[in-house]
Amino acid sequence: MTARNKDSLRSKLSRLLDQVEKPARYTGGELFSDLSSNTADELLDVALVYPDIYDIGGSNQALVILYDICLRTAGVHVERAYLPWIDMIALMRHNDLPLCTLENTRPLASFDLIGITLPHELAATNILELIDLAGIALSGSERGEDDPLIIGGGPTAFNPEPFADVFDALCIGDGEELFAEVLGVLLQLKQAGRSRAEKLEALAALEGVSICAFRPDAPCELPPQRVRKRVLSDFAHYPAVTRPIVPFIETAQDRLCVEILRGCARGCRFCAAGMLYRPVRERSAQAVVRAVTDGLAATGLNEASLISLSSTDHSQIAPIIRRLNRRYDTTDIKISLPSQRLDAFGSTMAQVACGTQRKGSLTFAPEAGSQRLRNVINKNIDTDDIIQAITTACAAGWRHYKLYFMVGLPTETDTDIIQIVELANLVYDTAVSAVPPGERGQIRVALSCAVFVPKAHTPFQWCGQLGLAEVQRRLRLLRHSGLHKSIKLQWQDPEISQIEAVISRGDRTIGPLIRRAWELGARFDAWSEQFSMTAWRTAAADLGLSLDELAGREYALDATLPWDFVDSGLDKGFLAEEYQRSLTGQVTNDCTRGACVSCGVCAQLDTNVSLAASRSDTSISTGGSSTQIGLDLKPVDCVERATCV
Amino acid sequence: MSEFRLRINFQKLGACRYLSHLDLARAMERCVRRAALPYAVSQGFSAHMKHSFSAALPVGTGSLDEYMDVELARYVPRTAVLLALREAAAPGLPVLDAVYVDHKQPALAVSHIQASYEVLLYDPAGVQTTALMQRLERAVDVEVVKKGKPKSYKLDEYVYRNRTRLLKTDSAGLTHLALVLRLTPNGSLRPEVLLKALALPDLDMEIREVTRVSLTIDDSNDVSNNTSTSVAGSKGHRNIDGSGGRSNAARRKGRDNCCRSNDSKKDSI
Ligand code: SF4
Repeated sequence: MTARNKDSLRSKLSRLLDQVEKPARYTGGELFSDLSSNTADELLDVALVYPDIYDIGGSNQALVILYDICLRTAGVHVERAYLPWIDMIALMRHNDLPLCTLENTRPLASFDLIGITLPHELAATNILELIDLAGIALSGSERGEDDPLIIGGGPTAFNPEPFADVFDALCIGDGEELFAEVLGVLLQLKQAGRSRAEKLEALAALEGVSICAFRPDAPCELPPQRVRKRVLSDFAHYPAVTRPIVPFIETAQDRLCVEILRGCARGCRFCAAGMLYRPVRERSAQAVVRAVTDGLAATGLNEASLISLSSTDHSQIAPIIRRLNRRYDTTDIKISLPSQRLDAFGSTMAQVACGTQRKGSLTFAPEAGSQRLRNVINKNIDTDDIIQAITTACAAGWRHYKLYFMVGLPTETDTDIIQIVELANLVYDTAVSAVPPGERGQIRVALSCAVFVPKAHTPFQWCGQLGLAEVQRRLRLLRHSGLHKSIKLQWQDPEISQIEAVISRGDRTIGPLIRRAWELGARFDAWSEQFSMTAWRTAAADLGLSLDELAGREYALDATLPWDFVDSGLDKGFLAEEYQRSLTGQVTNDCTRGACVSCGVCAQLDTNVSLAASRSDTSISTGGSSTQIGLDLKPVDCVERATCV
Repeated sequence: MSEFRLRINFQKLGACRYLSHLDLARAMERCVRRAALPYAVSQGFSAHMKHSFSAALPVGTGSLDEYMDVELARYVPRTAVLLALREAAAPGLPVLDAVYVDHKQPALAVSHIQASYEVLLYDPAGVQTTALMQRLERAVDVEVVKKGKPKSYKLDEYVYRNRTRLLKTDSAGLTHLALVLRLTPNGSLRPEVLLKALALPDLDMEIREVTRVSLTIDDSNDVSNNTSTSVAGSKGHRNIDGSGGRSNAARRKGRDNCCRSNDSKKDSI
């Protein structure tokens, strides 16, 4: 593309900025973004794309890590793009302007490689929207020699089948080493002038890459070759990104994020992240403290969040927080934790860790109302833990609480629903009696319910989702079971959860369904006010499918599952046994605190749990309630729920 | 504890003109933190940096002359401060200068400010602009709808009319208009709001870009009598930083030098 063309594209797009909401979403130029044009020795042009608006994706950690890898790889030029919001999309389509990158306003179609992260199932139609807006063929089979290779990755890629037609390749597992290998292969082959087919063949040879075109497309049939998940075994020594791009506008994570550990072995049976990111690997206290101080100094941000699936499980969390709080004590800089388990923490640390932002609300996720059902899902907490956590938090100054529950979990009965209400009331009463009489009016409890979505690679992968009518009945029951009138009840749109379920365990027939729904106008499905069930229903009808049946589909334990060809390291026998144990309410322990429970990951993937210190010194055997601090901006709760247990 | 008030002069260039005032404030706070200045922190429930800004710019308006006051807990020589800030500045928000100002000086937000703007109008034939200039000269007041309610503004209170100038028409067919407005703590008119109101109902002009060129404190309290044409140094005016100040030409030069993303990226998206 000539410089002139580029400039006219840039000025045409900038002409639209006065007509859209939040134009700064589209203007880039942030600190640490690479604004240089590609130079002669940068052979491979890579565009990293997040399938939602900048406000959501601008701080996405996957993109932060991959961007950093590109910057460190000689010969690679990297830029970023995000899906514009509907107002901008309409204007771009009207003016016939393609989706461009932020850095140099280059059309996505002019890149060699487009990397798209798949953060959750509900991004499916957004992915089509962005590829189409870029003017690239939606189906991999229709792309030619001059088109970019479109490669996906992220948690949702673990069930590749619904996305098989769209992506040329999917990367399974930790991206750090794998993405660097992908870049290396493509650099070399581009230099050698190889064809698209040859490039795909070479990528297929990398462990962790699934080439969609190479798989037989008969649904539910085990392809000959399994794709094995990649694990970054030496996570402890992999450098944390300390110069992430610093967005000008507020994004989902408006803070420095330092990943202090990867994986979670609590073993909640509904949680895909807990199963897929095994084994648990920790960064040392020293590495964490260094990453925080370096990152804050470089970015000038006023908050650092110690992120992971369960940050308070870190074996050195107490010394880490103590050191950081001492360091930033008299400043305007805050240290926060996205998820905590107060039981593991004790009152002193709750005071320290929470002291900086008590104005927000604490989120507890008991997930189920009854002890029986919590045992079914392996959420090892009891009522005493919850009361203890609330009392501790009240003493530390917290006044606002959010409680997360799921409706429609396997084996759930009406009694379990009623016990959700009882537990919420108990939390409210506990909080009210734990604070001085004058402050009782400040107590706020919000109850948030989502419909259970069975996920691939979990012990509940064989279970169907509850039908919509029954979900509605149970939600009505919940509403009329005597919830304290000061408790605010919210629930996530069950229809959105149904679509999530249809995709999460979908086979290859789901690709055309997503495509049809998108053609009928579905996009931004994770945004409740944008979601259109009509589009999805019509799409299903057009293809002779039933959403209720797809979401509710049950598999026999010995059936071949559409995602069986993805080797997550988990032994299928382990998952089946976990499922059976769940039915009898038998709990399974956490392998970072007790014996290995033989999930299969360590042996299968030749890796190991790696802790910075022993976790046994924290009194944890009873499990505990988990909490989130510093709730993030997000379209709907469900998006991050899977990782917030 | 004694504090030192540092007045930072910076710019809002290129794509950064689309930042909201809040975004801009956050970005400048981060710049101060990156520069590792010993800034003072408010005491209380949630500690924050003590600072204030010159009159908020609307989204879409760039500036060659913005100010941020920040309180330092400790004195650091000005040259060191300036060096650190310049190095820490985000692309698009270059720091031009930083000086210590007396606490007795009025705070940025409560002063009467003379703000010069350069407005780019797309008007290839030049007809619209001529008509607009005439209205600007003759109109007594304009009516602007604010939050659904019409409000009338007396031009003599808000516009330094004698200082309105047609600067040039460039090769792209853009007319450059210089407009000087008065910002008061009680209210002010935005250039594009004023021009749009004057254009009603028959003039059809497209405002392509608005840039604030300079800010000066105006103690004269009288717009209509003010016939000065120089931005700095005339009677009744003084530069915001109290120093000799720099000319607009120098500011423009600063813009070209300070930031690689400017200029070529002025229209970037
Ligand atoms: S194989 Fe054992 S030690 Fe490794 S993650 Fe699974 S349960 Fe834990």
